[in-house]
Amino acid sequence: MMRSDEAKSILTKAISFSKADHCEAFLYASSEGSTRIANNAITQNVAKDDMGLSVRVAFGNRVGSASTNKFTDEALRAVVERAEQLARLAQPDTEYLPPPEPTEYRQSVCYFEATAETSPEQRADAVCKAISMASKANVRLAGSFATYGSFYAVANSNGLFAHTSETSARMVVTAMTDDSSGWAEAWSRDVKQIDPESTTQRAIEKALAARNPRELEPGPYTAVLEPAAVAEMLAFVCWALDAKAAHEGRSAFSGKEGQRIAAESVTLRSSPTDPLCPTSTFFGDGMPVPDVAWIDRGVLSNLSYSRFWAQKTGHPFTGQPVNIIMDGTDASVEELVSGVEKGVLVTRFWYIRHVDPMRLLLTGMTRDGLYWIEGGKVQYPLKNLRFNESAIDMLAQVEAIGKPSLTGDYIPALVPPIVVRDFSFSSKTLF
Amino acid sequence: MKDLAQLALDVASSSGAEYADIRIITHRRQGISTEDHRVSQLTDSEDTGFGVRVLVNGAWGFAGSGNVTADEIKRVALKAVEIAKASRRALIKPVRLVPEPARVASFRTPYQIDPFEVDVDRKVGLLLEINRRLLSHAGIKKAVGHMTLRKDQKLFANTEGSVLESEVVTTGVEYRAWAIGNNDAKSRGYCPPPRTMGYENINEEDLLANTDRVAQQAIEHLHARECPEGRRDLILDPLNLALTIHESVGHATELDRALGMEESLAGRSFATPDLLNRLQYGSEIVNFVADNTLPHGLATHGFDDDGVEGQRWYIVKDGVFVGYGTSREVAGEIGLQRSTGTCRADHWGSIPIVRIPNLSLMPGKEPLTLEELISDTKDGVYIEGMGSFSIDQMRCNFQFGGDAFWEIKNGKITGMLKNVIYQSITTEFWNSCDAICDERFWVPNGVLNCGKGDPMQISQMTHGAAPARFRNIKVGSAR
Repeated sequence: MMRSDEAKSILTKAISFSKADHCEAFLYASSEGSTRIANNAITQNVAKDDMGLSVRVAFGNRVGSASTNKFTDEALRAVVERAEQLARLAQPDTEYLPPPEPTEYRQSVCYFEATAETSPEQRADAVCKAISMASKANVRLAGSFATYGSFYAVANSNGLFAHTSETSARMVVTAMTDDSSGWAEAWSRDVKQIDPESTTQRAIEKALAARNPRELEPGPYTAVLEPAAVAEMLAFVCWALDAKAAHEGRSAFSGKEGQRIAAESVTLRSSPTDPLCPTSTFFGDGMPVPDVAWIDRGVLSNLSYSRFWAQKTGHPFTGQPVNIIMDGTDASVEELVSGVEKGVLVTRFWYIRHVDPMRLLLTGMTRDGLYWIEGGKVQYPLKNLRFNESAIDMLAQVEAIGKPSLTGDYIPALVPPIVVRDFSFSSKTLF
Repeated sequence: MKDLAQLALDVASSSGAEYADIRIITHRRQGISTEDHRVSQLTDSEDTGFGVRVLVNGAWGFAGSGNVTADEIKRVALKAVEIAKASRRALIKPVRLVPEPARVASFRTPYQIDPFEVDVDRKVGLLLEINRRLLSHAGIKKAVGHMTLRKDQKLFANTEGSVLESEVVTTGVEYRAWAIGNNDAKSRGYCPPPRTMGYENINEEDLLANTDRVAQQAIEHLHARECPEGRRDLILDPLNLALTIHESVGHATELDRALGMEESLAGRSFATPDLLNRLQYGSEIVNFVADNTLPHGLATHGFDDDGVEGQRWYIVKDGVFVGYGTSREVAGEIGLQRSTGTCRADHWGSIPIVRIPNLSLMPGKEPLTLEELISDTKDGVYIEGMGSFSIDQMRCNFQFGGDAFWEIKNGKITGMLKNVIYQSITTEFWNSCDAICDERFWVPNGVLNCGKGDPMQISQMTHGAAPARFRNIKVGSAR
């Protein structure tokens, strides 16, 4: 992975080639490996090393950007010239702000050498263990084990320089029988925290418990949503937090700032220094990432303010959510299920999309383990269902919250399982 | 470059690979986004790199790098072999590629105007003028536009002797107007077909000529009635159909999915090989043709990333499921002697995977206009453009929306509706198709952002269609 002094040297050189009023330069380097399995065999095994540099320049408020993955003096000069050419031709950007000034940053631990150094053999070790367990359990297995390391640095003509290194490791496993499937994942910045056996065991147990599924008529049901399902819905909440869109009347959160929108038990926040869910402490342009409570005990306490919109409205800068942290309790999924008289247990969702963004009405399918709950116990598996449900209504209908765990599909998330009343399932499918 | 490519193949072969290929690619991208009277994004990128793919004892290895030098090519080729050797540890059946003749050839998108040679101020000026015209309507509060320009220059070489060079240029533009009020916001967009063409695909006159219609329909959309729940007839325009075809036919007939190879992310398919030539996928008038030779098609690249030349074949013929999109790896699994040639990667650093080809619903054989189709419909909804879309991982249950909706009563359009969704099961839906307009109304729309694979890859393909009618579909209001 790149050293910070090397990065600073490249970025400083690029900026020195610029004749613009402002120049910002961004450098990334990444190294990723992914081993994929299907039908109990490795079907894809890849590695990619990449590096790139982007430059953003401004003459007044005429802005242009260009990028390259070549790093000779000639290439750096050329990319700056290309950005300047675009900026000179561009119309003024009335929302442009000069680059941030140098500042201090908090520390977060996002980089683990062991993750960055994971070899194809080590990934093969993990998936071979999983395949072996699947064969013994007489189920088919699909999944992937991916490790990722990245370096990012930003510098600008005001003298700001910031850099960060991050790693992540994610294992996902789908176990299948002829009429069922079960899914589990493990995500961590530290590959040593990934336990292939326990992850695979959970997927196998889910699949075996989902055999011989029955049909359930669509309708509103109390739903116990496991953390992956919760994180998928909350990602759409986070993407809808933009203050400008809300203030312009184009968002589900228009007119709701400061109002109660969720159950009092719901607190949703972001913090780059959370020890369980760390992220970079600065945004791409070098602005520090603040801790922000988006929903505080049921109240929409903050929308997401860009630098421009923060300055225009006089609100503190928040930036967009860098992670999703939802406060919880110590209750397990089983304990949440024990409090449900009749309802469904959802392992995860699939293919969630907007139906009506103005109400944050979403649709999607259940996937890889849907079960009927009665009398506080899981009774039998169900065929999958489609839902049409507002993510805001979901948060308003939260009746109980469990213990948060890490999940990492869209953005790093530390979220609990939740119990939601009257979750709206709208149609059936064939399996 | 050809010397570097040969170096990779030689290193891989001498290290134990029975097959190897390399792609050395330069991706050029320009993206221009406007919001109201400002340019919200103006980016220009150039990205060069290579990917080496090897088979060692029937196991795949792939590695890529952005540093195109002889030393790096040697290192990466050896890394690909090392990865393949790790893959051998969990191999049930060695990969066997179906044959493809070796060839030395080149392909270039036929284009007149290189989009990267057109002045940026002309492109920006067009998008800002569109926004200005949209915002000149009192009810329009937000206008956005976006232009996508792509050029991929590729050298492919493999150990079988193929050396293929290509240059594919893609252009597209779209814009959208928002009407806001009454605690609601509704929009209307205009998206002419993106194509593999030069800047001549950006028809400035046509884009400007549609601004008044788009703005007026956005305002009408805001004040439209909710759609009553119930089963009704649907008439879908070519752009709405493009997404429905993509999700319910395109992905469902990717052979890797059908064989379970995509289960870990995108899922599988109900259209399994045992149903080939037996499943009534649609009604007898439904024909889906895959065509990677389609002039200006988004997946018309000359050759795929297996080195297989573009072809034309049926996926559904007279309603019956008859074909798949394949790679050389999976084609043999269903007894094909040759791949249909739909194996593509989105980047030099991505491994090629089975992708949807240019896949189109063929026009009706009898003369039929949209007006005639509407006048023949008693109780229905006419939908234009793409909107909400979701489908299950076996490609059975889907739910789609649209961009604009009109109620049809007794053969006449009675007014606009809002928040309309339709939900069905794939084969029930296509079997309910009872009319397709003729070839005069066939439009080659397409998708520029198809996501598939793990790690995720983004690809593009064309889906042509003429307006078509579907009987007795569950239609309702999104609430």
